[in-house]
Amino acid sequence: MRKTIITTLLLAASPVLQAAEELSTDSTQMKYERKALLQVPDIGLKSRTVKLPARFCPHKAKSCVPLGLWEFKIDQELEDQASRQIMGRLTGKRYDLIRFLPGKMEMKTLFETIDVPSKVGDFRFETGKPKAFAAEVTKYLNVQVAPMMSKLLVKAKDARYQEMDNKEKDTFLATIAKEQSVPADMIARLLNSAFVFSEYVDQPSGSIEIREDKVKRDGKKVTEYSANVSVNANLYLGIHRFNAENNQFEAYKVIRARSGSVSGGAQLYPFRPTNSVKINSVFRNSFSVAAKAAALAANIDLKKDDNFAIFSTVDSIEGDYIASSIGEAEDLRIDAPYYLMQNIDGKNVKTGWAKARTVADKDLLKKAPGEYQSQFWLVKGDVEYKDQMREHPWSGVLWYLGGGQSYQELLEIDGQDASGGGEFAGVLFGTRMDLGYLFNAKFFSESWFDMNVFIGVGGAALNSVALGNYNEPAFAQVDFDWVKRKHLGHFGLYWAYKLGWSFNALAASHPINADGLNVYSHGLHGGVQLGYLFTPNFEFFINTDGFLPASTRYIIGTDGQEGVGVVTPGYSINAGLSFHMKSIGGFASMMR
Amino acid sequence: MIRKLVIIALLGAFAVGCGGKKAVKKAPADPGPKSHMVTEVESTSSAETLLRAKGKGKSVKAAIEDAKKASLWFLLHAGTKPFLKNSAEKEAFGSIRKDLYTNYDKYFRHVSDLKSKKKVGNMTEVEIVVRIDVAMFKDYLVSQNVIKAMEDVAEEVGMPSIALIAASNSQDVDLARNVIGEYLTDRDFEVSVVEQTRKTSGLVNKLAKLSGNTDPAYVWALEAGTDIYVEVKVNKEKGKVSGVATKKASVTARAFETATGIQLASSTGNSSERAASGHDGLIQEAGNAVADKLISQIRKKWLKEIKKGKAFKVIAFSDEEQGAQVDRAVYKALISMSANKKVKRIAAGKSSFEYQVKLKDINNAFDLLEALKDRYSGPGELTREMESGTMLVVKAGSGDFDIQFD
Repeated sequence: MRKTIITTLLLAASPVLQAAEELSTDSTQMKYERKALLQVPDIGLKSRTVKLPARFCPHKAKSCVPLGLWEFKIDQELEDQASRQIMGRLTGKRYDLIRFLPGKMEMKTLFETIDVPSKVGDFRFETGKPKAFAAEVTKYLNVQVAPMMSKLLVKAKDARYQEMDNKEKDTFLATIAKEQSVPADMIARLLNSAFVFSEYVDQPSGSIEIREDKVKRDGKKVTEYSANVSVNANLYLGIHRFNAENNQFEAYKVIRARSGSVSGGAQLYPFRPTNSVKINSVFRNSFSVAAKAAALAANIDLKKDDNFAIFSTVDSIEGDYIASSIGEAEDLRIDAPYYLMQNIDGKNVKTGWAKARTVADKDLLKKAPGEYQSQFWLVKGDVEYKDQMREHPWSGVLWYLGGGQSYQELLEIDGQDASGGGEFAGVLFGTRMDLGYLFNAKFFSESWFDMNVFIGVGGAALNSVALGNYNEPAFAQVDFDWVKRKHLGHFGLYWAYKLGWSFNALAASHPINADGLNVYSHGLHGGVQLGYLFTPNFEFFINTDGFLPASTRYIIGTDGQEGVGVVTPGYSINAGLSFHMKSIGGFASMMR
Repeated sequence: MIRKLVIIALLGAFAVGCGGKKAVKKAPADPGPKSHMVTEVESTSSAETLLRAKGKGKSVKAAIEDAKKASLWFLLHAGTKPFLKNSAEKEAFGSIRKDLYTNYDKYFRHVSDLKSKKKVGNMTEVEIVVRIDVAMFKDYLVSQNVIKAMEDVAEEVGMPSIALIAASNSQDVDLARNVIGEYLTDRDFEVSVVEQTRKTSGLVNKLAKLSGNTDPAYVWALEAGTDIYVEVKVNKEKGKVSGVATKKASVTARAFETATGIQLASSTGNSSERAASGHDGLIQEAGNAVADKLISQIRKKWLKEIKKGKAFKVIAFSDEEQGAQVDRAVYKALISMSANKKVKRIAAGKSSFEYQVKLKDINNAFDLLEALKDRYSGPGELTREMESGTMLVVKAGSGDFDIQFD
């Protein structure tokens, strides 16, 4: 019988403060202390059957044909795959990993591996509702896991204590016995703060679209079919807390997170898929990415809880850069934003924020602990030595909305004179992502990828000697730009240069006929962007862009006459506001 | 006309001169600490101490420096054992105050990362933990004639000899004794570690009983002949925190003046509660905690008492017939030697008499015997029966008789 295992994460949170009260820091100088995490790789499901509405969109048809509900199965392999995706996003190097192995329970701290004999049984939960799942988890944890957890935490306390803030301990502890023995208040904290994560994926929703396209390949007209499966996954992250006084797990909180729509499953077929079986791989990929996206969103909410966020202090300020003793071991990523805080007249006040520019290698913790420091750039605000730093939960993806003006004119159709177009006023929307953060690569620091859509009206009617007169066109522009930001001082201001590719369309209806004229062009796109960063989550920007067409084609209607055209180089000026996107949907597949 | 102009010009110049701003000299900034909030964390060794200090300043750096100065201020003026004990020393410190609070980094073995950082108004307040070389700091104060060196004090008033005696026979107490002994030796005390494996003499045992003091430590102290004895006791505890076995230790030390039995000092030091494999480290931690406090108390009390003179115990034996005369003669002789003409009569029977007296210019029991002989005008003569440190046992009278304990 197939086991249904629920993913659990046991998180043993060690305290933020140091050992003896006299040597301890207060809340203005908090530092992150490694948590331990128990991983049982599986997820809870509402149902193993997923039914999604499907539709077929024939070539150039005005509407699509519903095909009813198509059924997919979440088998153990897919469940495991999704579980790995979820685990990979909720866990990281900041945790000491605990896992169940045959006959034992093992914890890997920063430098050591500790284990205790274990006979913890498997967790069995058939699909069901979230409350039933939570009850089963609690029962499993308190009956089977708690006794082993207590033993492992006790055994691991010495190693974990040694790994805590070594520099301060070595300096102040007068005797070897003090160095090696854990003070009572630290024992209480190491053992009394253990958390369990249990993940439950609610019934996924979404849709399937089978699209038919007739295209030319090597001079021949062929018919192709693409299948696009979009999936939305809702994740419940249940958190239990371990109470070492009574060796029981207690409910702590539940975080609900949405994946956003993941439509990354498009695939081409030479035949028309008529049932779910034929596009099963597309569904599986979308579901897996949706699970990852939901976990990313859950992780952002998780980090809003001080128990799970990274805290550090400003250890030095050199020129424009701030150094702090965190790095790879705390899951620090390139371009990760951190808030700077001070305690002013009794209140914790945010005084600025910075972004990581280098990430210290965790191997330095053993080889040269004094060199384990990462560099941050002060984006906005003030910084002072020993300011508190707090991780800002961030996905690295923003969506934006704005408006502006674009210019493009039609010059030729089929080698003959044409006119129309001009200035279009319209709305702008899109997404941008910090590639440095997504790829966690220094090379891409402050390199952004903007996907822009502009829709405008207002140009002059399209006229051509070859095709006659058409009405005033609408204008659409889709840009894909690499944007490199450069900060101006520490005021939150930046400028950026952009380079990318643009796809434009002038679409005008005919005064009499049903078929309108569509002029498509694509070419080099570039420009300059100015922006102001209110917070890591909220920006204002102004774009000034230019477009150099590489190729222009026209088509009348959807399958009518086609030919070549010429448009003028274009420009656009627009402005807008950007907002943080927690549920990043398909962008999750880019996250490393 | 010209004269008028000149007068007007002079008056004008005078008015400008008087009406103009006078250059005001800015008072030099006080180099001393703004903050005085310091707590003692631990005496890590006889030469170093750990303090947690708060500092205030316009910047973080200034606040850290203020905290360091505050910790030095604490050692000088506050806590349980301030370096500056009297008005003369405080006055002497005034002459080096500026220099100290300008050049002080050399006394700090380590300064921690910030333990706290807050802004209050336009000031920054920080807390740090510092390890200070107190031995080096004291040497500086001695070199600047602010305080006297321990050796000078010892030479002047004579520092006591101290016997360290275990309350019970165990390795744990031996460890605690060693820790305390290390501190005492470092402070120029003459230290004897009394091994209780030896037998005490029968006479000493009887003499102790005669005083009514049956404390074994007192007997050992009499045997050792030291001015002061310190009784050391160790208490070990076990506990549990969240199911983890923990240990804790405390060391109690009491110091007594051997001759008089007066308690000079008492202190208890505790270790932290820890998940330790053994108690040794914890006993050492508790010993560190008690040693410094104890020594400070002993020193303070000793210096106070020694001004009145060194305390001696005199026991005189005679036969019953001559007892009353001997008692009168010995008592009068001791009064004549005592600066304040006071002699304490502890016990008197028919043939044995015990006195306590504080005498200046008498260093030991032998000197006391010689001085007593010179002043004795009773029957027969005084002969030494036993002397040990500050205890003198004599036979007084004529004829041959055995010592009788009443």
